[in-house]
Amino acid sequence: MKFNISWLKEYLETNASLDQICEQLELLGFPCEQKFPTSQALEEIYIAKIIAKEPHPNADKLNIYTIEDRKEIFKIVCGDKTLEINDYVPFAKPGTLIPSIKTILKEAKIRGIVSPGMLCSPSELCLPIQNTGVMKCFAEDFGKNISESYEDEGIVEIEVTPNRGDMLSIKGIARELSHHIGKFKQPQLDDFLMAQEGNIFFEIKSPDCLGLITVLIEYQPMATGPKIAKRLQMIGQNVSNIDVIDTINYVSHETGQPMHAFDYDKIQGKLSIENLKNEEDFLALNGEKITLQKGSLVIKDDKEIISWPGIIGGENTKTTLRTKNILLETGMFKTDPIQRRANKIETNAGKLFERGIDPESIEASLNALLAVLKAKPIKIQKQPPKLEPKIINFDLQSVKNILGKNVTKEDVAKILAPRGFEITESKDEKLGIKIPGYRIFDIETQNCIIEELAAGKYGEIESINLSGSFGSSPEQYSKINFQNNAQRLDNFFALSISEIARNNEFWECIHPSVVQKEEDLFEICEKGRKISNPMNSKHSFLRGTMIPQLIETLSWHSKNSYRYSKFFEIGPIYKNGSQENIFTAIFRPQKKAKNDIKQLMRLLYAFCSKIDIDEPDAEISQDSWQKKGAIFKQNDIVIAKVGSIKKDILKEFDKEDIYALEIYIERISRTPKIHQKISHQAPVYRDLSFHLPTNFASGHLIKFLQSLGYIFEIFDIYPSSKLNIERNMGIKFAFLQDEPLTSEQIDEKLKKIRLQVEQKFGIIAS
Amino acid sequence: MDYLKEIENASNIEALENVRVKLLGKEGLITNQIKGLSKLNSEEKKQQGAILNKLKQETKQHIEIKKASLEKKEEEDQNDYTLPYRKEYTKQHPISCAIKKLENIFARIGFENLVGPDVEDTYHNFDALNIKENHPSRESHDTFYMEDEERKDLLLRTHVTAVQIRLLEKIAKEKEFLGEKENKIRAFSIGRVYRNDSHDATHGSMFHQIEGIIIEDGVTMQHLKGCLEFLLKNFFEKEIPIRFRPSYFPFTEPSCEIDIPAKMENGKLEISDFSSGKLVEIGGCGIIHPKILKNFGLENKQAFAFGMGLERWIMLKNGITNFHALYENKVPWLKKYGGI
Repeated sequence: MKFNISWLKEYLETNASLDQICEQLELLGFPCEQKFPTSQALEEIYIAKIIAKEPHPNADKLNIYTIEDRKEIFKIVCGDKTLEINDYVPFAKPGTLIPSIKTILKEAKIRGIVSPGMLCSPSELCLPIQNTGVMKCFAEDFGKNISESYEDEGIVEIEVTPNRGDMLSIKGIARELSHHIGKFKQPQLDDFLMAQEGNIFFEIKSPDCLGLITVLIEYQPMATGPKIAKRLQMIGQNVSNIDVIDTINYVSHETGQPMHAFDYDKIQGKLSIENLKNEEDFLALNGEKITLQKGSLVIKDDKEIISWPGIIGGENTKTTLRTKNILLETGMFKTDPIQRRANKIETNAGKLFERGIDPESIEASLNALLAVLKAKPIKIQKQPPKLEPKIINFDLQSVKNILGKNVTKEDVAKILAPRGFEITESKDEKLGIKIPGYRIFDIETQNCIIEELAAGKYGEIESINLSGSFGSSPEQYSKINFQNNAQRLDNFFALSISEIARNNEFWECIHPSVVQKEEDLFEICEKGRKISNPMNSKHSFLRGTMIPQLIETLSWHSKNSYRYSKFFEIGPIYKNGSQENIFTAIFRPQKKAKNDIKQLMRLLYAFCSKIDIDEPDAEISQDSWQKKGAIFKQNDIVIAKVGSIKKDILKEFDKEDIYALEIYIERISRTPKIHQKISHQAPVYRDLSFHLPTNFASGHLIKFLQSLGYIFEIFDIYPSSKLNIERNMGIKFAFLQDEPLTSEQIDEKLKKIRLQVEQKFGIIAS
Repeated sequence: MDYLKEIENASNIEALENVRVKLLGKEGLITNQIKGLSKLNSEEKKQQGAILNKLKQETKQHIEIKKASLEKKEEEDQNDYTLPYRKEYTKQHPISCAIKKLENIFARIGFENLVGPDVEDTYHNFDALNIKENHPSRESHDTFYMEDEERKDLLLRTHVTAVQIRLLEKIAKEKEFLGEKENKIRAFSIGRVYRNDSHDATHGSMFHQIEGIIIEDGVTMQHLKGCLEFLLKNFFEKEIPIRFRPSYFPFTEPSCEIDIPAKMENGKLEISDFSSGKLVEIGGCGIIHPKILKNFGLENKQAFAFGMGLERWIMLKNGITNFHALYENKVPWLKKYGGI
């Protein structure tokens, strides 16, 4: 909402400066931006008059204008050939600052003719006026500078919260400020709504229309006067230069009550306001054809829809400079149909009606319009809204409960009465408060009234520590256990793996959850969830894996010659309709390093040890992003996945192997490790070498031996950890017994192991 | 010659390698000059080529010599066995760091940690929070909706306040709780939220929010202010004055913005005091709307809520000006701003 300070002062008696006004609005909860004055530049550019016009001798596209500027005469070269004698234009002399380019203007020679200055367009002056050529000013401003003619003591834009429709008008802003920095005043106007009533034949057929006032005037529209035109221009509104239309916009901005003007002679037959029985097309006055849904509130004459009340008028009955009789219409509608409107078309009227207007000021607004137009009505039809007064029960004690401070009935009256609130009942601490019309859509409970009492005074609230806050345990306060044990464990798991990864020189990353589609890649590995209205085609998925993002990060570092090659993230992934927090690490081996995948396995095993669970069962797998790798299971649930990454995901690293590890921390169940019985005898060690065939995963053998209860460790795997060759795995077995073992007994045990392994896998041990 | 000086000044192998890349790398100074030869005529080419090739050879030699001496030096350094082994521990991402820190601060004043899903439904994100369909307040949220075959009401939560409703639902289910007058609830939630608005330095389509809720009789706005001051003081590790400013949220009444004073210093926004700073909004708070509490059978309770943007806190604390840097994960940046 933009407004001009001098316009505001028509409703507010105040000595406050522009800065003070802004500061007060901020305190009241309306963030402010000062639009004008922007600089002193506009004070140095004056409005001059064109007194002669001739073509430039050396250029077809230029004219030379003779202008009068404060009794001096200049000849100026200008590219706008549409200017005429007696036009008034902004003139900048050499030495003045041109706001748009922030440069000092110099005298220039244009095609051989010296031009001591320039005629300015609105955009060169940074004014919000729609005009492509040189700005056309008004005769009354001749000799004045642009600042005093247009800046109106300053122009401010405030942010209005969606509940406060009343703050979308000059009157509303003045009323809000009045309690703090001035006195609210209403201009004294003659009563124009006193004519003979009746016989316009406007029937209300819909319960969505709460009230309607129509006025017929005989009026020939003309060009809009300077005051209205300039004020509207400076707040960025279009000026049609048809005075009735511009004045309606002007008065509506001032009072917050939208109104509409029909060309009465174009209306055919009787009028009614009703809900559409079927979908129907409507030609709006902005030239747009809109399909209105069934049930939409419309104004119809005998032939067609002529207006979409509360939102926009129709093309076929709009007012033009040839109009002779005008039907002015205004009213009050339920907010729902306006909020539900088709296409969500944005109009000033729609903005006001969807928030709700003040039923008590409909007539006054219409009267203000007639006063500006100086038009006496021929006919008037009044069907004002009949609303029950809204009264809120208010308990003074509630102020103490919420703000922590006492107020008296007198305090309440003093703050609220000037703003139209009325205390209707009063018994002890309990009051009945009648809400003024301009706030009925917004104030619903006594809390809202407390907010009114506190507005602008929050600075006075002192802080108190929460009772018993410090050093007490959470359990003391919450008897509901919101967070189940699983959640607590997940936090602990996340923390543990993060620590382990950081201690192993992995860098922690955090990436956004919304990913690019091209980066999908995700398509190859893990499909995430699709967003139906993405910001752009790029960011259209919730990630199903973090691997492509981590690769991107890795890639940035490698492109910029950083040696960092280990990254991880703990965060959510989204797939199959659910969300899961997981750990993902990626690792790019340095050229000569051989221990590639071990870097990641180390993390997994350190993690199992830290959270005290058995090492999970490993299986060879080739799943989603894995080129080659393994999955790890606990109780048949996959809890981790490790491996090298498929080439198509790797982008520019496609000639290298990059490894990844995913740990699904939420799926881990924490069954404590089974500890071996401790023996008093020193263990006896014996080695066995198992000959593994090609493509045999060592994990199967290890798991099998574990399941039989043997204690052992792997001391060698030869020639390498590669899967696609025959290998020998050396395992050292420890035999623990309470009684000392003879060598025969030990041989017997080794024989048994060999037999078991051979029967299970056909693997020979020696 | 400057080149030689640079080689001589290299203090370790890494620095020397940088100089080598600068001179002889693919885009190195000398390499580029050699590439430039092709533009010359044959005579000049011959003459200049000879000079440049000589320069290249010499530079290479100098680097080799220097490298050998550095390697020797490094070998000698390694012989100091008393030097403790130091791994390069990596730092925690500032966002994880801040979350961990806040979890600890909240725990100190009896707040429990809550979690909720990122993909919410319109009920939890809007309807239950008194944000009515078609109302302008819902439009200001710029919501991302999910494509889903079964449900049309799924969206990416626009605020963590949705978790509040999940808490109230749980409370409403616990019948005993309603009977007891003494019960107090303090809970918080930190999570990812999404807004479909334009990218700029301070707004991204995804950010983190901190949300807190207190249900406790006898607690007023004064306590709420005290609680917020406690959080800020412990997070920023200094006293921070705050000021409430009236505002509007459909789910609280009265509603306030939380402002702190800050000023620009050397291109960075820094926390100052009310006399010299400009007000900067760091969050919103208020009393949970009576209508909402009533829906969960809590009409006799007093409940406060507050919500804040985590990234803004982190940026203010560390003097970070570019929001997106938080999600770029560049190690030099992480080294500077990350935590332990």
